[in-house]
Amino acid sequence: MSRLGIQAFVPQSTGSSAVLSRRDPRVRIVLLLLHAFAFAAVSQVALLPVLVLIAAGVYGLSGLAWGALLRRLRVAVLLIGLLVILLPFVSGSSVLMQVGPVALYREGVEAAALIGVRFLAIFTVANALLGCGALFDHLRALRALGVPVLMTDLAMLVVRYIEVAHHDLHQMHLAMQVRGGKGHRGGAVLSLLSRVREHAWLIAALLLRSHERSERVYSAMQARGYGARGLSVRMPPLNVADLVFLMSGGALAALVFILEWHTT
Amino acid sequence: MHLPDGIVPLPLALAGYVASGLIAWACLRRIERKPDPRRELPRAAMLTAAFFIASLIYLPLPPVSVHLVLNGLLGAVLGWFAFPAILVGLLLQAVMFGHGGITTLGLNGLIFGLPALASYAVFVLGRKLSRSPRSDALFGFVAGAFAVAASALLFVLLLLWQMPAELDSALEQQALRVFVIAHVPVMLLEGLVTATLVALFVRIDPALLVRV
Repeated sequence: MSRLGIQAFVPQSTGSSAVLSRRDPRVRIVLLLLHAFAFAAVSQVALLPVLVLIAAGVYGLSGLAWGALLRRLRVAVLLIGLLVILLPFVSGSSVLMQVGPVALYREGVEAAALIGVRFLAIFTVANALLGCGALFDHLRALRALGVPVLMTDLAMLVVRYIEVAHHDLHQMHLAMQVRGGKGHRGGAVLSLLSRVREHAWLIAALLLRSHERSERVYSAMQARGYGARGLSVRMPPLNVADLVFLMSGGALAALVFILEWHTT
Repeated sequence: MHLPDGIVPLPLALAGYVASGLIAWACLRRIERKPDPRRELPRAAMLTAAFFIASLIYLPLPPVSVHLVLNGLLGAVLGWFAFPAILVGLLLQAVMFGHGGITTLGLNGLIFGLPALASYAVFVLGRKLSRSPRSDALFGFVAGAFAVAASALLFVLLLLWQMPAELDSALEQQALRVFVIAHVPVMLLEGLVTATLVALFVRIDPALLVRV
């Protein structure tokens, strides 16, 4: 059973007065997409220092602790780490160095550097821009940017009830243990099957409870006027500072595209 | 099985967004045709949250332990809501845990969402053909196992397609073989769990499964 503190995983801003924290969430989302896709477009190793500089600069503007970024990185880095370690030894034809049967290839090193730095730059910018505000504000901003209401409402309700579902699961798991749910007899296969069945029951109980809760939640939402006309929340127009910030950030992302286009 | 940022080139990432966007739009159109589409929303959200948490449970599969994907079951329970729910789940996983990525959200949506919709179709077809508890469980097994197999295959194909051209093709094929073999037990496990859950729901609360 996984131990999970959901709140610990939600990016949290520590510097409410930081430059990025004062920007409109719509601006942060647009800049995140622009920078993420600009970084993904880079295919030249020579441009990688530019990505590092931009990502470090954006993170600096967020006021978030660098330690927090490293902690989150530890969870996310598995597949990328594997590729970055393996590619230099299995991809390419120009040998840089050889020790016995193991050879280090130039093409592999370049591919690993591109994949690794692009990942780190996008991850850093995403953490900086999304860590500067509440998740609900960013979901509201997505709605204002044209994402369908059904999708954003679904996301908000999911965020709201993840913690509840986690609490339910924890309680049910405890109850199962108290009732002796950990006693597995028989051989390895029988023990495995009984564990699978036990986990399936746990998931079933969680889904049944969530299903029952949804009826009550819908009634409560209706009582609060959910879906009624005239109750939609509109976001105010962007102020001058937000527009200037958006244009500057957009220009930076455009610069990456132009440099990539020039060097290719 | 999440494609992270940094691996996929821009055109493919954009194509993933376009394809996922179109499929999500088609699913939402289907949902909005219902008499009261908002009524389905809390149910989809509560169940998505439950699936999100359930997929964090690790099951023992000696010598390792694995976590369930549950996209086949998601298709059988949420129907057309499965694709938007998977996109939302992937977005939250990227933001909260750093699993997956921002530029790869569309492609990851296809990796997990398309098999979920296919499982929905398999499950509905199965229930139309026969309504016995045994056949429900059997089609639950097929839906669960197929969804994981299809997701694993899509993932590995996209991953290997994007690897550098200089990568040894024999090594590529070997990696593909190892990945597929490693996922066979996971596939069986997912099928078993989905079959058990479908059999339970049919008995306890059939309203949890998609209407046929």
